[in-house]
Amino acid sequence: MSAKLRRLWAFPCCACLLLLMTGCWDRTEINDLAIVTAAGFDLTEDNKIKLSVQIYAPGNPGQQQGSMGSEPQIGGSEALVESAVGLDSADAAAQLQEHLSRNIFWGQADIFLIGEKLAKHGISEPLDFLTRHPHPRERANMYVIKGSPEDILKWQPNIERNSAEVMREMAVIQTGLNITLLETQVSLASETRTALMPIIKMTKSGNKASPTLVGAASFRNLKLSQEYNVKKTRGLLWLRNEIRESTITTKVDGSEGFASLNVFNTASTLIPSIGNGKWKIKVKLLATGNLTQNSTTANLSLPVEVKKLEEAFKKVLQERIEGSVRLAKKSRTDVLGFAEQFHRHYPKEWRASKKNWEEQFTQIEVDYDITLRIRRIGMTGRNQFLIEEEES
Amino acid sequence: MSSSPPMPVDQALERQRALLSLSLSGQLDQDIGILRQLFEDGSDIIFRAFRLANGADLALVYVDGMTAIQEVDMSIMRPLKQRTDADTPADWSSLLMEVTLPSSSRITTMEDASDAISSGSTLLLMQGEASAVVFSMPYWNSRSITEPEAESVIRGPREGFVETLRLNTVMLRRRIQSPAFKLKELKIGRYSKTTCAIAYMDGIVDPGLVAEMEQRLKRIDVDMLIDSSLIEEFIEDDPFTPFPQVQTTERPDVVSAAIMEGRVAVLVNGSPIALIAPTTLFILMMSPEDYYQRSYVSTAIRWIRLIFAFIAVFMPSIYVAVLSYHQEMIPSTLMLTISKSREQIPFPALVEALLMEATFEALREANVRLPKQVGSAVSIVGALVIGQAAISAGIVSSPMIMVVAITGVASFLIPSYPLGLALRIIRFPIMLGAGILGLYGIVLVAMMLTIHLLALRSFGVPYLSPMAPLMWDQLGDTVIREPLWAHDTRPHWTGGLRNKLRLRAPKSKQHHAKE
Repeated sequence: MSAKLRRLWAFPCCACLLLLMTGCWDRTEINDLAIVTAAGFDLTEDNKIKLSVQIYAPGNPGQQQGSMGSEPQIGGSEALVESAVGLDSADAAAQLQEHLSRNIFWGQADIFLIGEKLAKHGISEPLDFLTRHPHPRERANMYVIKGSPEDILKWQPNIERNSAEVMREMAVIQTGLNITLLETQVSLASETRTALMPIIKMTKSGNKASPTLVGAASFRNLKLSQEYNVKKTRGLLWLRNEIRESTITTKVDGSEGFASLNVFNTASTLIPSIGNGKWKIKVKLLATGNLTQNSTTANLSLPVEVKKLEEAFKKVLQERIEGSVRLAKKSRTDVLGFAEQFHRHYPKEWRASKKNWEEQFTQIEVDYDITLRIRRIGMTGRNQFLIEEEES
Repeated sequence: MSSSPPMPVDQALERQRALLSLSLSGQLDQDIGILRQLFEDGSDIIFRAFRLANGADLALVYVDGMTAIQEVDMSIMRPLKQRTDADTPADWSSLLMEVTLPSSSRITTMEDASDAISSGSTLLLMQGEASAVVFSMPYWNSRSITEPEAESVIRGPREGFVETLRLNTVMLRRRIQSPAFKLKELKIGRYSKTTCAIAYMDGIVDPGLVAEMEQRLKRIDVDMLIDSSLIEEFIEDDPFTPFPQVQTTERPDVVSAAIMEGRVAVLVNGSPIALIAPTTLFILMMSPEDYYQRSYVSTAIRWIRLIFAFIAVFMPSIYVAVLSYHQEMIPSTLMLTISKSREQIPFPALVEALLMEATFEALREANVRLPKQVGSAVSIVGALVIGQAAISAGIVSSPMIMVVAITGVASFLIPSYPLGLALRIIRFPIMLGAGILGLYGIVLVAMMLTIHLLALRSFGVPYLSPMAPLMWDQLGDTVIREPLWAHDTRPHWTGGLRNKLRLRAPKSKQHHAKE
């Protein structure tokens, strides 16, 4: 063996020895992980933190061997829920680890739940734990839970794998807010230090209780300040330009039935202005929708009638938004993003009134400039059944 | 060693050297005697002594089976015996007048004589002449030209090289009917004296490249040149690398296309594989089919090939790294499925991956080596080992089987077999890196690999050219394949670019209309 060959082999050999003989691989096998799919934080009676985690239990794959080719059973493996109480979240997590034979792995947790009690007490505690820890996903969804988070974690859904999956899908289809850990962090760090989180409650629908979105909670100074119901939440969404698709229903003047509009395209902008010391916000909203139902007698083949209908929808929309704004003002929590707009357009004035913004916020006058278009009136022009009734 | 008594081997060597150093004496009996001694125990050497009408004693020496005997009879024996009479003078000049076959050379030494006989030529000796005449009419049975099995194409020529050099050169000459097509012959091997031919296009190739190739070939001093692979190992720039630095092919169309690009090919007698140098990684990633299919299709196929080459090298490593270090990177649903299937697996992901990849390589090797009759048995067993049975046995998880299967298929997409082997081998160190340091380990090993590839040269041409160093004008035939009419300049591998235009694209229709 030539000297060159020997030198050539020396390097990989040394490298292998260096790497393999240290004995400190930080490798962890998936079999050694307790994969947390969702976690809930709540406050106990004695002001301690109760941490509940939903852990994916892989079950025994050997059981499935007999039925090869058959589709895997969904929900065949029960979600395992464990909880522990500690002085703070990290302590609770450490307590929890003692119950488990595997390492808690936060990297796959998609959902973080905060109990109502803890939300009222202050969410700084779990948020600090979740953001300081390197594992939790910043894209995980945040929810406030009415009742105990543990109950929702334990709930076994019929169509999804576990309740975490149900709640993730809830956020994705965007009927309510889709708030992630990152967004919470960002909005809490911005000027007004407010945040908004959807609220979930176990409600009975059909023969089984299931988690339902019941609105949203706004946070001021890291504490729950105001709850919005579903309608008011949607008002907020219109303002925040977060509506993807929605249906609004209204009664038309001088007619019995209702008309519904499926809004598929919206764009809202907030335009701040300061005149004579009066702070104003103009909400410019552009909505386009298709008519999905018309039980009124209006003959929509006439443009005049369509205009009338548009006006009616506009009114409903404005009322909705106004309701939400009123509630926000009442709770002195600027979840509407007004502060940001003033900061951008009137930085000097903003800085001057930054100190008592909460007071200022309640004084802001809100104008509405809503443009609503009905794009298509559907396959039928006027409601034939109703017309015939009239004639006969 | 010099003090020890001469061994029998030494004695044999001495005797051979002594006999070879002699020259022809002109005494037929003596010369034949020496040749008989040289070819002692050579049962296939035929000595045919005969006398002509004018009393000249002659002898034919040839190897049985390597010489066309009918030809010898028709063109040498018959004219000599029938057309000479007692008046014909017994010397070479007058006797050779009668022989209808032209002699190829006249030799005077024993060494030349033995070389001529060994190469299949017929030696004609005559009493009283100190020189012998060589008639070169070697004849041997050759495999017929068949479709190259290792490099098959759907559309394109179906002929492949055979083990006979002359047939191979004919295949090339038939494609390039030009005097500029050169075939420089030289013999390599102390004992085997194998004929090699350097094929190139005069006026296109860089003369320095031919000179370099010739010099490197002449440096080879071995007993026997068994195959062109021996040449490859002796002439490559960097011997300490798994990557092939010489392109190998058994397709005459590939060789002729390569030498028309100004590259040099080496053909070896007894090997159906031609060597082409210089080569680059991108050339090795190309299939001849690329040029026979439409350019868009070829480009798409090249991309598939490149992507799957990447998969073949990195996929098992990424799987190992992500599974043992970066579990948060896996999409949740997939993670849960993987965790379910890995639940009963006793080994860490790295061991699992090494086990399965090694098994796959073993199966592949077994399938190549086994006789065809047994081959199907290996396939069946292989399907069991890398398949459902392995999962049921609880040794590997099903995602791992998927990874191995995809990697296996991907590695067969690489058109160059030596490059495919190289990539399959480097996969293992990368896997180890992934198992020890995760994605960071993969990056480290990949960086080392990149540095190595950047440093690699093939006859002075950077291995990653024209990507690194970047040569814009040559990128048309790398990850994309330009339409042939647009690819109008020759690549310049070494030296300056001379004679660069290789085609003139047909003029467009509008152009014609204007004229």
